[in-house]
Amino acid sequence: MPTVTLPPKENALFKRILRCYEHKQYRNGLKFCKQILSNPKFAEHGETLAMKGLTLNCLGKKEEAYDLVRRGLRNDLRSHVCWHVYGLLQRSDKKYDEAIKCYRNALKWDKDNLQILRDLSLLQIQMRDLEGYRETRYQLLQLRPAQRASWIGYAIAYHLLEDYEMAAKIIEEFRKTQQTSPDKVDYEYSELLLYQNQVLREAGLYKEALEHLSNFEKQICDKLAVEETRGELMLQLERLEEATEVYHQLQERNPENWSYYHGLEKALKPSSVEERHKIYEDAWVKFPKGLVPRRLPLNFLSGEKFRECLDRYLRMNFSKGCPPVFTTLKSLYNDKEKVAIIEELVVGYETSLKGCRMFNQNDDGKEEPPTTLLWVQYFLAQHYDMVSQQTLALEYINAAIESTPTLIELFLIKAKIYKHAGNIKEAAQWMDEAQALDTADRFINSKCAKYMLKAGMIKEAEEMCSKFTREGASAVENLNEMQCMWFQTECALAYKSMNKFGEALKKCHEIERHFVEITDDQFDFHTYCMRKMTLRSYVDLLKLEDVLRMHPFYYKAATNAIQIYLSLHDNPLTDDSKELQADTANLSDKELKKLRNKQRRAQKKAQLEEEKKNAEKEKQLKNQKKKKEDDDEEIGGPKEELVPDKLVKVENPLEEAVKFLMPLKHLVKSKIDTHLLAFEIYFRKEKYLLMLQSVKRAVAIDPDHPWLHQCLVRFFKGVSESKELPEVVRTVLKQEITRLFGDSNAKSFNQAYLTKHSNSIPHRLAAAKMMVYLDSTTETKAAELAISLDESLNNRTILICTEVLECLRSGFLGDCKERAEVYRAECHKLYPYTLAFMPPGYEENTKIANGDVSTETEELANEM
Amino acid sequence: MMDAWRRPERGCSTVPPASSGSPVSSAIMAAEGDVDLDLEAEENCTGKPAEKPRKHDSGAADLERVTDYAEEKEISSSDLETAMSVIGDRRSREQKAKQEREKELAKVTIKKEDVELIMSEMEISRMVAERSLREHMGNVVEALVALTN
Repeated sequence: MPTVTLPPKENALFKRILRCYEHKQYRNGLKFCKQILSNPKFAEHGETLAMKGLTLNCLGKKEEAYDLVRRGLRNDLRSHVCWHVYGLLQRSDKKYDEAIKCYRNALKWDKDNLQILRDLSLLQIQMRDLEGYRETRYQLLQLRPAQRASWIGYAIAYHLLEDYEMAAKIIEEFRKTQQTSPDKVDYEYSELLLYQNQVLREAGLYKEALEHLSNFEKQICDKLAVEETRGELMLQLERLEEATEVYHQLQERNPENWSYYHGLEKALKPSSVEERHKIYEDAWVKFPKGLVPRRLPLNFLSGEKFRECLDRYLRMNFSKGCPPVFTTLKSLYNDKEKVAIIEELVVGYETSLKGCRMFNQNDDGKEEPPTTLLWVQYFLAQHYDMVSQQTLALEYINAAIESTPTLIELFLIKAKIYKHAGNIKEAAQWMDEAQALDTADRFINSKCAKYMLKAGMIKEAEEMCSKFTREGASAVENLNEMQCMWFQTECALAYKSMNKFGEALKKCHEIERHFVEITDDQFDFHTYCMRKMTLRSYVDLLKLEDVLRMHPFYYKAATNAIQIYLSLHDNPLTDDSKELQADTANLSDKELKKLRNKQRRAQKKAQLEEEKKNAEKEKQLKNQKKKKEDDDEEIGGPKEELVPDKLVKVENPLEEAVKFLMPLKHLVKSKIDTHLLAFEIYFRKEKYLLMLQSVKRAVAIDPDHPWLHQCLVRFFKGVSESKELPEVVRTVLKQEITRLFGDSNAKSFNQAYLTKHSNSIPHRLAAAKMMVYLDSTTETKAAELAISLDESLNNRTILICTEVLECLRSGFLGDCKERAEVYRAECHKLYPYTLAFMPPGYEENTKIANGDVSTETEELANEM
Repeated sequence: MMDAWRRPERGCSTVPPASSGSPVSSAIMAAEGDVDLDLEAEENCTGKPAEKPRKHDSGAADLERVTDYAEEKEISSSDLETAMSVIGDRRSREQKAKQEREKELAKVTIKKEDVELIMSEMEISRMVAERSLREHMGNVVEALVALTN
């Protein structure tokens, strides 16, 4: 209880302060604070001081707020209000653990205080202390059984703890207390019913769920959800005839929804392909314009039947001019037989359309419009790109462009073909061409920026994006504010490939902060969703937030950051010059001089640009400041600024890497890279048991992975050479290695691996690298292993060849500059477009030729 | 028209996180007994003129309302007692089971150096390390094998 009691007049004022705070009328609140505090008798009144602080915090004056609240608390340590306010302040600062402590202190002085219990429960659910949340919710229910939120909160606690039956029971008790007339539409009641039904289904109580659904059907507003749930439940209960009926009705509603066809298949249980196909034939008769009933059978048909259906599907789309038709078929491309049929059919169309304007010269139908040929060529370009025949792909796309030079999609595909062929510079140019045809198209604009970033043109990409970002703010900052993560990911990759690790890390951290922000943003919805009864969405939200960092954006940012931290650990930077030294180590004097000149010029240019940028920044800063003053309700303290130079000089890069790794270890267990990256970190930290953990998990995913093999060899060698391992650790290692691998001699293990996978290039490279790692005298033999490009070998790709070339150049397989050059030339013959395999001096030449690369590479292609 | 393509301001950034409807007043009223407030005497408290509605801000405005304060709705029904009794006994059973498991685990004797070894080798907290050691009846090798799975 508070130590000082205010007289009635001041007490009334104090109540007003609270009311003003609740209704976000902060300025008035401050006025009332002043009225109390100006009375010398209450100048140090703790609770008023605390409230003044809290109000100021909402106006963005954080420091003052902390001072006042702490002073208030010191003046009245036994006031639950002061503790509560301190908790709220910490909470607004996202210090949730601290806030929980404050609330607990507040509850010491007033254990049944509803509001504090409520706030505590919010923090517990935010921190996913589910047991604690259930406890607090139980107390709230005991104290206020007449409140809706008490019941719902308690039910949700059980639901999240996966005690579905109990959750369903609580909701049912609560539902019975709700008086509703069956004719009145009550959306909140409807949501409650649907939530209850969801809990019943998750409990596996399908019969009860179906009964529940039928009983309350009339009072549920979301009719579609009712029908879809009914179909699902009928299937679960094996009431197939009724299920068929339900799915037929749903199909009527929307014949383009895949899941209804899947439902029908499950209900009708076709025993043969023909019967299965009949479902779709029937649907086709009913919905002659439907695309889905024609597309889906292509997944399970084969041979002649497949050809027949594909023929009808393609003709329809080509005649109509449907650009994404290739995309709809992409998923069929892992079936070689189907790919061959597609190729044969469409190439046939092209020949026939050119000759007689018909899909087939034996057709006696009407002639196709000229656009049909265009879309067929567009399709073929994508097809040959997909099967890695870029020369042919370019032929088709060029023919199409010649006939219709104004169609943007064509340039898009041309750019894509060049990207897949390994020439990202050329690709970016064509994307720019596409973009120039319609500068108001945001999709093309973004694509173009992305390609530019992949080509390392960061400045150009920023300018490209600035066409669509807010005026008066820098594009990069605006995109960060908008959480535009694809842009930041590509920036990080671009900086990384330029060895600008600081800048790259900055981007990775920015992305990480977006995820923190998304997690924080859920806070407000704990109260809001319960009040609005949107419980299905609420539980979905909670489940999404639990696995948020599974998202590919986080995965990419994290893996990039980890790789950078690993290389910072291997080659720590003390000053900037070192960054350059790494590149210059193997250059001749002449080359070095040239490089230095180039650097000097670049530096000068950069300086000028920097000055320009600074001037601009200052201007923006002024704008922002002004904006902030206008908008003083905006809070959220400034986070620590991310400075590239500081990021790159981090003291313990491995610890930083672990921070990025942890979410992946928990959420992305299914990807082998997660465990391999984990191994790389723990290998450098010499944590043998954690290495064991990583390889165990990786082996379970793909025991023959080339990178994993390199991890294993290093692991075995490390274990056999390590001296000061605790006895227990040694026992565990020995036991587990024997169990999993039997033999653990690194050398023979490597040899066995090579024998097993001698027909695959990536595996050969892995084995070769490990040969050198174990015994550096085997360099020549290892290099020979790696450089073979024989037709008969599997997995020959641009990517792996580039990797081999890099290994040769970096001396990883011994000193073999000449061999590298020979290898490059061979690869160039195989992949004539790929930048990485171009002859030395290629890039300088193209620059002199004023960017007209297209003709040159096309000539090259013709030479082939 | 390029403007038409621009995205509106991201809604969430306009929600002031600190103002997340956390009324303190009902807390105090509950503690001190209800005192009627003279609401009519309250002057117009709007601190500043209402902002002009912006074109694309309808989503942001909705989000703004997320943090508004709202009174809890009450159930009008009177037969809460039966409802309350349903949940009562279930709860006590639950707690008993949990306590027994904890008691059993607490009986296991573990060595401090084993816990510390697990902590440093596996880079986990003391709590997790102790728990896994107890669950394996103090056998450090078994605990470590399980942790590396």
